[in-house]
Amino acid sequence: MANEEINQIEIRGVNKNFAIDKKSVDVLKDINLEFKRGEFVCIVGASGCGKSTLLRMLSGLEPVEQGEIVIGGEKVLAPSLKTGMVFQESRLFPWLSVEKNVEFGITRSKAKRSKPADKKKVVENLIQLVGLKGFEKAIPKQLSGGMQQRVSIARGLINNPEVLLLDEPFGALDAITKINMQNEILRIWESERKTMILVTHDIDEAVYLGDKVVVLSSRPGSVRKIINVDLPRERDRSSPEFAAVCSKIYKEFFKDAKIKEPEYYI
Amino acid sequence: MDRNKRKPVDYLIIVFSPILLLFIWQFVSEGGLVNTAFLPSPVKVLQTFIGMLSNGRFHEHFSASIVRVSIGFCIGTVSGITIGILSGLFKKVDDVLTVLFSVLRSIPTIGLIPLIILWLGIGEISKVVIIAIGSFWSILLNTQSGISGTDVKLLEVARILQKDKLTVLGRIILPASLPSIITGIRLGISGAWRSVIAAEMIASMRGIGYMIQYAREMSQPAVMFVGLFILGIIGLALDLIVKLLEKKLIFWS
Repeated sequence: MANEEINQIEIRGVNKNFAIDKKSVDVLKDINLEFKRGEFVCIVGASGCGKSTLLRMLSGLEPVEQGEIVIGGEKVLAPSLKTGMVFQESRLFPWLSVEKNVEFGITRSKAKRSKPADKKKVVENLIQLVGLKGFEKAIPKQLSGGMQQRVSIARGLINNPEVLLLDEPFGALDAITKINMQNEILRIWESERKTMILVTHDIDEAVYLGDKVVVLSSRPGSVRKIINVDLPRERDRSSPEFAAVCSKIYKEFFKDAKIKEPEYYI
Repeated sequence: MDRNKRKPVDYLIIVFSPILLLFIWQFVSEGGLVNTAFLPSPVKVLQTFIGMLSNGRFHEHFSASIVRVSIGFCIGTVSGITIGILSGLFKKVDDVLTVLFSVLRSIPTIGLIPLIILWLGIGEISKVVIIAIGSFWSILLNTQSGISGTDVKLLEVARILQKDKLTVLGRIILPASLPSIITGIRLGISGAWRSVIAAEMIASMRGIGYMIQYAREMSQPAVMFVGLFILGIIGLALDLIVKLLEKKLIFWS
């Protein structure tokens, strides 16, 4: 797009409430955010703060009833191939091989029907990109959690979306696999240059990955603070600068003196 | 897991306990402890079976039953799966059928036999229909629950990827409900097997059910036992075949 785009993604005045037992519960309150193309954004918040709901609204899975979300100049009304999504659970089809799972992601628009040969190439390249070469024929149950999530990332990227949404993608992985996957996603981000929006409750993860960390307050979720992480990559988790950013976010959380359940801040 | 693991001695028990039972049976029956008109000895049953094999009598009844079951079961399966898919996919269809089916399903198939004979006569058609009904309900219900129980999380993936309805049905909903459909088929086969015998006992001139019934009238207890053994063995074999099929088809579980 040639037109000067200031922000690729704009979230304006978004509220969300769910009806639970006939009572309306506010989940998100007055969210206003702007993200630039190619940015890596992390959204952190306690469980139940509505961060996943916000991501689902960005994806078009959850309707935007109040306020609006604009991606690349278009209002989000339904899922679009411009946004890919990776969920916390890999959500692979257990009856399909790695290759077929990734290939399933291809949705042919009527305008550009891809030839089978191209299809194969695209799948091959993505499997290579996520580091699963040699596992094309394996089925999901033969893979570890981290590998399954790699397949899921490949599937999320297959339609060449402008934005990749990641909903706590490493939340279910063990600590070491998690660190590996964080480095993987950075590598993919650097090679593909997609806008990535990652939701997490892990502050360390957010600071390690994000250009920008959005801190959401507890229910109803509202934007408490936006922190720009200016640390050079590759970031050193043990450096005092890194720790300083983390502690800044921790402090944001603990401002709420009333809420002190530590499990929220893991 | 360890507790369930069988040791070689356990296998010996599994194999030898029925054999021991046969020996006791033989002894009780031939030793004059019971009247052989009620309980013929296993050796006598085996001799009768061999005799029926060689004179073609067994084959006549056996093939009659098998053909009926095959046709009836196929009809029951195809209609059960079809209606199950439709009502699992479309709430409207389900709404129309739900009360009707709940009542019909509660009628034991055997209870329908007189009505079906009234309507369709005592020919092959009525038996095939009874067998079809006998297998239909469990296949229908399991298909339905498989379809409507498809993981919403997988369906969301399809929404994100903007898949059309046909792709969602063929590549997500159907494979996802396959385990449930196969469970239905397993129950359906045993239902078909039950109902063929019932139908043959009431209105038939051929078939294993008829053979057992007729043997009672003719005071041929050994023939009855042959029939019962065959029923058990075929029933077991059908179940094993479907289990094997399940393992092959549901390779991902």
